[in-house]
Amino acid sequence: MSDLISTTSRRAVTRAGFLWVIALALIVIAVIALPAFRTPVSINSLLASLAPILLISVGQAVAVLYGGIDLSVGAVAGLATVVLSLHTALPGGPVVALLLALGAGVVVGLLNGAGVLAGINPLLMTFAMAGVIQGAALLLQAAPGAETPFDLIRVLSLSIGPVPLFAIIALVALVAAWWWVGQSRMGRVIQASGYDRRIAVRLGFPVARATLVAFGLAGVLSALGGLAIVARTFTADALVGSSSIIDSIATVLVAGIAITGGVGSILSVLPAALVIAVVGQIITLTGTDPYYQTIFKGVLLILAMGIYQLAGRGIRMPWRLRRPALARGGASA
Amino acid sequence: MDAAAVICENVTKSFGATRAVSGISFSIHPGEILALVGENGAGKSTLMNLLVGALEPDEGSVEIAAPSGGRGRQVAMVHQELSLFDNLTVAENLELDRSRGGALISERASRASAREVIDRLGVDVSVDATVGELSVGLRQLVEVAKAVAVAPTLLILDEPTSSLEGPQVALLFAAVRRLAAAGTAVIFVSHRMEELFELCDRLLVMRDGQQIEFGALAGHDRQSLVDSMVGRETSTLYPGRASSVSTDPEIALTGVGLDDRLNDIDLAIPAGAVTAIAGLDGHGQGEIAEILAGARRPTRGSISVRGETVRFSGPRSAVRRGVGYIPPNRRLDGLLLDKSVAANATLAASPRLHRGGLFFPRREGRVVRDLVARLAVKASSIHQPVIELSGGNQQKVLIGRWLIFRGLRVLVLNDPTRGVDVGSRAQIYAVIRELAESGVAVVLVSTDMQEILGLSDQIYVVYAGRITGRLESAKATESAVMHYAMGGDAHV
Repeated sequence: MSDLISTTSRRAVTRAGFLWVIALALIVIAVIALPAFRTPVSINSLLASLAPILLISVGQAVAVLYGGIDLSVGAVAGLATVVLSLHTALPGGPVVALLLALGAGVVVGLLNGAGVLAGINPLLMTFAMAGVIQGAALLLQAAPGAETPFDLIRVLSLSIGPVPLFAIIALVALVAAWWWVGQSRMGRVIQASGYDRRIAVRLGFPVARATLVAFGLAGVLSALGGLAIVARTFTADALVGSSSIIDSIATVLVAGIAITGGVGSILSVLPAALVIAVVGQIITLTGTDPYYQTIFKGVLLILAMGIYQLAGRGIRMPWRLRRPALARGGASA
Repeated sequence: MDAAAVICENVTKSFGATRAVSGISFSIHPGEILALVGENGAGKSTLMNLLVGALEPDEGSVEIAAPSGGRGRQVAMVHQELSLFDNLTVAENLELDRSRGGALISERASRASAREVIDRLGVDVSVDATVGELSVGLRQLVEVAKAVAVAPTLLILDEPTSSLEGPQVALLFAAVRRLAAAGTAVIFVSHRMEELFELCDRLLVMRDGQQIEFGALAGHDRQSLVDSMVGRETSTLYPGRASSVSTDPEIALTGVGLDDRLNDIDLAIPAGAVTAIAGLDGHGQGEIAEILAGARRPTRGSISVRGETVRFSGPRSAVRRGVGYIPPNRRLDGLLLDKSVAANATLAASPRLHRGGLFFPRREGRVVRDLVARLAVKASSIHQPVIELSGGNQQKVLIGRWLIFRGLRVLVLNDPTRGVDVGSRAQIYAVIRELAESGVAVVLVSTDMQEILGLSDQIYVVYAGRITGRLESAKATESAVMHYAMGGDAHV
């Protein structure tokens, strides 16, 4: 086992131990206090709503670990739902539409990556891209004959007992992404260049490829998240992912992944998403006004940031070293 | 003798109108250790970049023999600025740098080979330690370990000892000698003369991009080497001393402590003199400097300025009391690297120069140009970003910042000449003395004993967070200071 997990990954998981404790405590409290919470229907709906946010947050986590951010995740998720509805206009039917929806996510991600490589700030690049994609998805949605493929949906929305298929897919994606970032050479380059791009460039690491891979992964995982939304809502909606931009960033930050890049563990995305989802479920089941949910998310984010700031141990962020101006050759004469 | 490992023939490189390197011809044989010396800005960095291959020469050629066994790199370089990722462990850093083959990393193999590399160097550091949590010295050694993991044809060490302590330097030297014995050619750059004489056998002197001398180091002594570098006699590196030291302190610490790192620090720092705080690396002198500058708050004791007890809530409130500070790491803590010489120089004096928050280019230009001329800063214009200047010139800009700050009463210098060449040093020393003569209380924190003895008027020596002695510089000797710095017998 110790051969398969890097020391840094292990340490990051240990550091997030308290998040797991909080998440489990919340679940235990909910299970004991709310009989409605432990019904199969409730569990199924909780997991079904958890799957998309988990998938999108994992994509966001890769982008943030790389030292970027992806504001187009919501638009890409919406686009995926719309592309799926176009299956009637496509030669291969629903399966091709499924692949196309994921492919669209990859393409948008690569375009984001290419823009970042061209020197555009990731925040601006993905923000602009979100506008482009959302507009395009709305235009496609208005096309006549668009309809969600019910045969496919029936498969996508399968459940094993109370556990939806997409919850399993999300969990597998989470663990795979975590392991890949820690243990693959490319994953290490993403961690390294996320921490200090300038050194990574100077050492001749494949930073350009890492950029494309990081944003490509964020794109495809967002599209997958979009499909998870379809499996729950059965409808194509270009705007369905708009709240997942903030949600994914909040989840990633609560998970302790540093916004400056290179530090944190993707595995911690799970307890962070669980805390948010379980509290949401409690709010729904107790009949509390759902607006409290957004208030809770905001407060949680601020609290988490405050705690990480106070804990502030170990690694200092080399703020002043991350500027690209230093990349000019070594001419100091 | 066997074939040369490195042959440079008439290498020339220009940047715009400046000839950074011109007509350099030398060769190094396997196993030789070459001392590359020259003032900052003499073209050493450019030459090293040409050797590494980061730059292409305009004229001439650089030839480097293929590495023996075909495994190693041709050139490995330890940069002054480390290339380690603080977020990863030692083993992970070493792994990243190794072969690029294979998509997945075996943790066990990666740690075993890291262990081997670290052990070969003889450093006591865990391969599972996160680099960001290591001391600067240990990081430097890890960097060295990384460079020598596989023996290269040519190893370039650019001031590798600047943040190392005595025993660590010994480790480094042993590793370099071992590599040299195995046939690696080494280029060693350092401003510490004794190290050059201890380690190197060949010598290349550069001045203004030209090759001044190439040959055996054996015929040289300290003085002749400095003369060759600077091109003029430098018997008077240090200016004169103050005629008398006032006993009336400008700024004083009384019974100051900081957690368990400082205890019962009593300091009286008079105006018009240079007060040095000496000691071995890491015995608390840095913390004392930061307390004086308001960058740290003491946990016990009090600070007084001209007899009045004050509390510094931060550097800003210290500056308001007329205390200026020059931090040891100019690149990280002192300068806005991307900003111009003018922007950096006017930071402290900004309220005076920029009345009402407005910016007057002509007024600023006049002040900065005077300053640049006074300190002999080598810059193409006052609008050049400081990142493009050499270390010595960057330091001059940093010191210049306080020269044009009118209300300066105390200047705290923390290791002001680290990585600064001899020529710039002399100029910086002269300016420091000038400041003291104009009535400023200067505090000099340094680990360079020569500098402390040469420049100061009185010396406080710290050991393990306590003051173990106070000496008059004129009568002090290196061994007397060392006696206290090693613990001495704790009396004042």
